[in-house]
Amino acid sequence: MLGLILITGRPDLCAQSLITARQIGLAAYGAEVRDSRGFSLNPAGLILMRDWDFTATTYGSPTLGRDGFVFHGLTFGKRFLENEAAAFQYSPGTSMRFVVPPTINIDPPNNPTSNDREIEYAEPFSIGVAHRFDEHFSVGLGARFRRETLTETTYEIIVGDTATFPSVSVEEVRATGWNVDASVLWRPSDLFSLGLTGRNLLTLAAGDTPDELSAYRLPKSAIGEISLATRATRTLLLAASAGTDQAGAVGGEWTPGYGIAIRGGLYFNAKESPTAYATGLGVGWSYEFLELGVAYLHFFDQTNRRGSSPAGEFDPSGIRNIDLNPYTSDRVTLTVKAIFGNIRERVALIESVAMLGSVYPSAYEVFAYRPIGTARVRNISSEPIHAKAAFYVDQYMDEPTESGPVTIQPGESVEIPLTAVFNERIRKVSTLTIKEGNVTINASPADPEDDRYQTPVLIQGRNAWDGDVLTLRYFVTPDDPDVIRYSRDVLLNHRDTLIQADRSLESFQKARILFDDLAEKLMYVNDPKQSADYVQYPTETLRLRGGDCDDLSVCFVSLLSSIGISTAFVDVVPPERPEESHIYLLFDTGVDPKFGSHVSPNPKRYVLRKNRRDIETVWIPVETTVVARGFEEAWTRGAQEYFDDVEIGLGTIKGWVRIVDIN
Amino acid sequence: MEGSAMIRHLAAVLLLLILGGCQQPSDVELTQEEYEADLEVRSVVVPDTHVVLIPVDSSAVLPEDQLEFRAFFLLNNVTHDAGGIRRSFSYSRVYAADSAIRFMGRTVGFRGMDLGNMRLNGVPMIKLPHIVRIKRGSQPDSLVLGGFEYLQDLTGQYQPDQPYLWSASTPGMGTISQGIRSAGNLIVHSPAGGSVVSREKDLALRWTGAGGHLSVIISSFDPWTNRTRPLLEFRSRANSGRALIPGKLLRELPRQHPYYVFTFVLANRVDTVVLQGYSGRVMVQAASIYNSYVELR
Repeated sequence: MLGLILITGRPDLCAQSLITARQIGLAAYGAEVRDSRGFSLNPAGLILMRDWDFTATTYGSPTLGRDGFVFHGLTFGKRFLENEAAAFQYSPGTSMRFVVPPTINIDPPNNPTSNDREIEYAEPFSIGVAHRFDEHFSVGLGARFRRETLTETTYEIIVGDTATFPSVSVEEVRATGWNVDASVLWRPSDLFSLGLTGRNLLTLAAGDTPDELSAYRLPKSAIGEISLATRATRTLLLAASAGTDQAGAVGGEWTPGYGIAIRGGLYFNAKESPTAYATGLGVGWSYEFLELGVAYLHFFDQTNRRGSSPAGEFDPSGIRNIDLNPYTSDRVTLTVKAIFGNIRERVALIESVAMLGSVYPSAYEVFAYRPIGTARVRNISSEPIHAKAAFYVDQYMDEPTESGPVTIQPGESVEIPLTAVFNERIRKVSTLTIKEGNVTINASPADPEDDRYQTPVLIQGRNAWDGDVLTLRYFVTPDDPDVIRYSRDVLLNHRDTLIQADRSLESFQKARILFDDLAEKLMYVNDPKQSADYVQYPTETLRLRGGDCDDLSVCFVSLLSSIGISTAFVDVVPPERPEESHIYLLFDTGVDPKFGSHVSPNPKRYVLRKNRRDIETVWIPVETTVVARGFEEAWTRGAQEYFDDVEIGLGTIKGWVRIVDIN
Repeated sequence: MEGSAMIRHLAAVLLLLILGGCQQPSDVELTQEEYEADLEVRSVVVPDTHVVLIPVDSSAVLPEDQLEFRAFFLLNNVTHDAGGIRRSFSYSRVYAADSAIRFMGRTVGFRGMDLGNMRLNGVPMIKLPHIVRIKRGSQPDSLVLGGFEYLQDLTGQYQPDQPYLWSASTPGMGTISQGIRSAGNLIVHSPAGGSVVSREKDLALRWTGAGGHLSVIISSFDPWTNRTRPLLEFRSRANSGRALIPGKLLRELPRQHPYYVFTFVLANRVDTVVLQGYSGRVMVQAASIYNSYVELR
């Protein structure tokens, strides 16, 4: 585009606007347009607006000896959706009028005194739109409505027989049109931005241009400007710009904190003398939705800049910009910017989100404490922030779950763990489901969020199991009414047997009765998918009358737990034959070890271990896969396996056998 | 008041201040070199009368004033500059109109009162018969003698910026004593006599001469009849020696007359004089008159 600009014509207009104090202070603003302020310098920068944006500017000219301020203009901007933005500017102050005072007055006071000639240039309206292609690249299109007016005082002399009558009248001719600009903004990172702006690429004239005005028209040739901005340190921004009109600028902005910004810049133009012909100094302060800016623009050479100039030297072709040209005087500019809607500049950015695995509905409660994933968050502000990350999955969570605050230093990135409190609905997911997980980051309690990130979340079916014995316990449902009813019914049916049994062996007898009852009703079958990752809930096992070792263990453990008997899973993963991994269980008889012989005269048939009250008791290993053969066989097989795995194989010491208490 | 509420109030106040910045952007004045002169342009009335008036270019009295005033004490230094030809003379004339002279029912002039022996600075003025011209179309004017007037040729004796005193003792009006200070020397540099002036360009007027009010009377000039017709009077507010007449005004001057006279008048005038026993208005004037004859193209 710059090349196109270079060949389309002689450069005449410099890309400057004085409608914002920040622009005056920074001087080189093209790559730093980030809201509606001065958007005509680079409309592509509008995409950096947060939401609604409003700016009003006024200025005074102290060197002209006038009191009071001139309303320069106001701007509205709005960002639409994620990738579009638009702005409108009303700028009655972007106007300059050159007047040739009268040298004669016709028949005063009968005729009012009017200037001999007035030439007014104004750009009262501007519009801009921007589109973002991706996070780094956006384009913009702008149009400025320009009005050029010539007001000429004309005379007429009527010679009568008895008198000569001079008269005066005022004629006005006007030319209007739209000047179209285009720009791009490339921000490969928050530390660097590059802007390219082509101005006057297209001129749309409204009607014919009167001949009388032709000598006073402003140049319409295209001009290109390149602008750069880089954050040298976390508190210092440097900017530079150069145009094909031989004009340029350099400037900097220092943000020491507390919302304060101090700005300074130099304006260059090869056609001016001295080449560095002006300086801008400014201070800004932002707080919540409000941002104030004050800037002073000073020209080193005041010739023609104090409100008057020799008429013979007036040259419209030298007026390169209505705001900033050889006749512009020193000015103090005050700008107020207010942001509405999503009003705060974001200070934190989500760089990435990593999910740590699938969500298993059976173990959904664990994610209230154990991270479901992590969000990598960066502090893009100049001050330390306290960021909190929130995670939410629609339908399966009632509210977003928020992490604790994490302090992040300016420019640093940290991993914030994401936790999730799911509701009961997640337990009804029957098959693998992919849902959208929303991650938001919030660095200020007063505002909703700084950034948002969406990531897919895999929710397994309700029977899916990740193979970890620690999570198998989440399939154990002793409080399930069906489980409670089943265990109560079975024990009630054997009430007489239990009454006659030794009280110290009550738990042992209950377990035996329950298991034997299961033996009559259940049988061992493999997972439907021939997979160890499918676990039935006890009610399903009871209803389906069978299951694999996981299912039967879970079912029996649930029944035992429902009547207050402590249990534990024995997870065996033989190191040389991991494919033969296996689970059986232990239950607590509550029998003191010294009475172990009451349970069995063979101490290899039981296990001594501490229960949850830290009291050593007699535990019985049960292999549920042989459920159909009854309790004695399951006990015998369990005891043998435990003896082989733990006593002989030293599996618990070597780590390939884990005993996980359920309660 | 909470912080955010205070900020909102502050924002509202600032916005009101900014939106209340109601001044217009300052104009840039493109100053002309002769801007300071600032001429007032007045129309010149030529009354519909059969009274033959004396030319402005030598009297510096506009036609309307010639009928408005009845008595004149004039002290004029006149220059006619046509480029190659430049002629200067000075004179004093005293005339007080009396009764009207009528011809065919129309007033054609007034008799001049006999003011006795009129002296200027103690020097007796020449008492002449007042001649009233009666226009007769293409034929030569008829002359009627009606009363007196007083003349003094001061060519070679005229002193600018000096006091002059007219005195007389009349039977009917008693003693007359009128004084005035002669105007300063007036020299016109632009437009130069005999020059060609463009109608399309602004015309810079330049002169030197102080001690009086300056005005410029533009008159059309017929070189064949040697008659002028005053058209516009320009009064300078501040006799700064320079002024500018826009070309777009010159363009509007009648084109059937290519020749014009720019009559610069530097005058001291008193028009509130009261003569005992005389009811008409009296003008006492001392003027330096400089006529530049130009061609407008």
